Amino acid sequence: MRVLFRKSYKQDIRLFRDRTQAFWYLLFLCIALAAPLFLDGYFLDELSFVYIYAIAGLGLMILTGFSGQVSFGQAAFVAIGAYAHTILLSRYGVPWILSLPLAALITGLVGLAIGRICGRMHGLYLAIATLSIAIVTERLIGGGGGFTGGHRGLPVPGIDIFGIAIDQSWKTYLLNLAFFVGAILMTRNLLRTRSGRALIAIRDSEVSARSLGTNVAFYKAYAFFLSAVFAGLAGGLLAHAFYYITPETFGMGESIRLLLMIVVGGIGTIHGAIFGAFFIVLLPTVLSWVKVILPSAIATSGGFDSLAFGLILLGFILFEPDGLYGRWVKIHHYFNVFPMYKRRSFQRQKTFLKTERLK
Amino acid sequence: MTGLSFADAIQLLLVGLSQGCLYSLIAIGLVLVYKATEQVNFAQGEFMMLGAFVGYQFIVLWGLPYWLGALLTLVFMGGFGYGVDALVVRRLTGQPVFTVFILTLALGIALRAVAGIVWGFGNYSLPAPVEGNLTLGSVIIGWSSVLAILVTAIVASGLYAFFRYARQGVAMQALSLNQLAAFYMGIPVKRLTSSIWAMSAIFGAIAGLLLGPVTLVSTQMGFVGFKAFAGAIVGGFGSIPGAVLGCLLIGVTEPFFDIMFPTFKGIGAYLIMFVVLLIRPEGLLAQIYAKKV
Amino acid sequence: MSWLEVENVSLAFGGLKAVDNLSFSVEPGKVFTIIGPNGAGKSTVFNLICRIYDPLEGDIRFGGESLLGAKPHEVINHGIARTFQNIELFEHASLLDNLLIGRFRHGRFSPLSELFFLPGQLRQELEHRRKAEEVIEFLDLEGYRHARVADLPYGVRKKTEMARALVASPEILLLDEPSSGLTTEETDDTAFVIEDIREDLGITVVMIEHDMKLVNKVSDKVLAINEGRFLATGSASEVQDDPDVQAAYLGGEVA
Repeated sequence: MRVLFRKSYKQDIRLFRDRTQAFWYLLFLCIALAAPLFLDGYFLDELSFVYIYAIAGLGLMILTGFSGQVSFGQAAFVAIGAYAHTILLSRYGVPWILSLPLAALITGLVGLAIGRICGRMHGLYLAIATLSIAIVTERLIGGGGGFTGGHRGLPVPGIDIFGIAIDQSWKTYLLNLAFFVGAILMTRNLLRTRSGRALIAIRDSEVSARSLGTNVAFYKAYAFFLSAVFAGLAGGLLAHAFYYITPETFGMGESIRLLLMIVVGGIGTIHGAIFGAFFIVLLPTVLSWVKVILPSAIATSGGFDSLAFGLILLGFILFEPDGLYGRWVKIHHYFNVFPMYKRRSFQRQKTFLKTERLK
Repeated sequence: MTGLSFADAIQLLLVGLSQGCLYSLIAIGLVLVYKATEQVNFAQGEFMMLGAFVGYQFIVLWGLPYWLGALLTLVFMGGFGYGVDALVVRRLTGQPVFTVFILTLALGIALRAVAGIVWGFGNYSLPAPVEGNLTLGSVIIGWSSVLAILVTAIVASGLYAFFRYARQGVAMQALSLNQLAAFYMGIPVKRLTSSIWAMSAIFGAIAGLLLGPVTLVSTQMGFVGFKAFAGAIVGGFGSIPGAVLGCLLIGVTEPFFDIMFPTFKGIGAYLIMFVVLLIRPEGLLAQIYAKKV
Repeated sequence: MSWLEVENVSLAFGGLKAVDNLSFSVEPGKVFTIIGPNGAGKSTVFNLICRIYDPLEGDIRFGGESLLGAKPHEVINHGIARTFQNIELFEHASLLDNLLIGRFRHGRFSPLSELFFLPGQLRQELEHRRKAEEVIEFLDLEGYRHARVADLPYGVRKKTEMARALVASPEILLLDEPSSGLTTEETDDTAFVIEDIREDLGITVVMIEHDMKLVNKVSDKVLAINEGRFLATGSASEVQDDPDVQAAYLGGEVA
């Protein structure tokens, strides 16, 4: 059983709690970097998807998990990023190295505008407002005629950085990995500094956040901005992964999937976004293996994947609301304190409904 | 709007009105559950879809007489709603409301998949309760649409009176005002909550039976539910008259919007919602949402 | 040092006047207690000072400057910090994080420096941590630093709220019923803490209280209000002997 000795303030502020934790994460990083040596193109592409979805998920985590603004509109931001990037690349010939950050920035600014409008909304209203943004964005892109390629979509040019073409699976994999690691680092940095704490404060108690000097409206908009930048970045990378983008790729269904992804992963944690991304991307592959052993009537029916997804989700909500990461923490704790594990270590207080509506 | 004659406008208005009434029926189900438990049933649209499919099963596949089939559908859906709460949602008492949010979202996904697996992913036709049209001058309106308006009016006013005057109704409101206290006061919280879910499912089923003949029954039917959400928000979520008002507003303005901007069909409802939220962030007939410190 | 002046302030909710032409002023470095029956409008006064509500009329000044132009999140910059009657902590964060959020006004919004954790950030974070630790030591909260606030016992949570307000280095501290829900020992502890805040930290304290023992022990001046209106002011014993105050608490005619 490992005991954590805190010997300095720096320990709490640093990225890694102690050498052991640093070791494990650096090991994962090395394995990830070495993956092209022992995985073939298909799996590298799948992992690329995981990284990209994780980036979008981290953005959503900043918005929903950390600042408490439930958003169903993340896919809209991903769409804007994807389309902005593609249009800048193909129509205006902007070099890739500028186009991607620019697309992310544009998406961020749209997110900022929406954040300013939606900052006054709470809970359900915010959820529906963001959901309708996803729906409206899909339609607007679809109705964009020549500019956005309408419903036929747009082909996406290849990645070309300073003349080097990033066209093979392992090259795009490493590129996506780099962005993924960067996104994680930025999120961690956000959380251990002032603005990140402000977001958490806003999530838990707007009133006292204000009493301590937090301009709630400003930081809510900032959360939208950041989450949109992440989503825009993911969108640009996703566009390359799909080679061709259409409005349907980023519709309302996708938004819902992103939200559910971070819930399954474990809401409010960085690990949650990553676990969730693995889950979402690898689920179809796992299901296809499962289908082999099921009676063909069920397996070939079109609804099987959705049903599995819905049921797994229901299972998590009912039995493990802290998601995959929450379960991992519990398992880890079990082995840490073995044999003195108590289930009550993780019991939370029940909160009963007491409405804040006044009429 | 070029070339839109007065009669055409009245026509659109009436169509929009009945459409708005259908949205209202769905929205009423939403608001019911919300008023009592502050839970949001994201699967309300899917309840409607399920109601339509079950109706399809009874009336079309098993050939039962319409009114018998419809009644059985409502009974089944009432039981289903009760069951969903009793078996699933109830397990989440004491957890933050967000969890139920996500639960119903997942439920919606599962229901859509199940409906597709059991009945198929195509479009199926459901007979209307009353065939034929009512003709007023040059305006033609289906009897079904008239029925939709009537049913909504009855349901809305009935519920309003129920919550205001009936003991059960007041008890239901106590559930959200202070759930723990309601438990202590001897209010049968669990039973009442499940009854509310049952009622909500029944209204959804009614909407499904009325909408099915018009738009055809399919697994995608439930997405209309989001427009009902928009309508309930426009009116101020938590208020039944508000939900009806909001949905009617959306129902009535939608067709005109679609004619004006054909490339952007279908987003009128949401744009109206945004406009309303910008002017009055709590909705038109809102219940004020402010924390007393 | 600045002092707080409330002048002819009124506020109504619908038809009900919550605060009715109330005036009082608080001397710097003293403990000023507001008492009154439940529903007298005491918390509303705090909410007015903290700009959660706008008064219908009257003025609120701090250090000679009117507060009425300030937004709720700017009040802390004037040096006014508060606690809440029903604890408003950041439930999902640790105690230490709650306090670090209290240091918010001592930083500036610098997104690039934060996101890339430039060298200046580490220095700032260490400074914030140092200040938070000073308050933790002051209030004996060492053992609870990393615990999730939602899991802490009630008395500790109340202290945490106070700690969070202190971390912001205020000049004046508004305490809303600091002893409600506490045991006798904890209330005595609170009395000592309030005295220490006044003596050691030189912070002015304005307190809403019901516990008369605590009021008598620490107050320099007391204000009694009822139904939003001024009843009496003076030392603790003067106010308690006032016939109007007694009538308000015990019933009977108000002269």
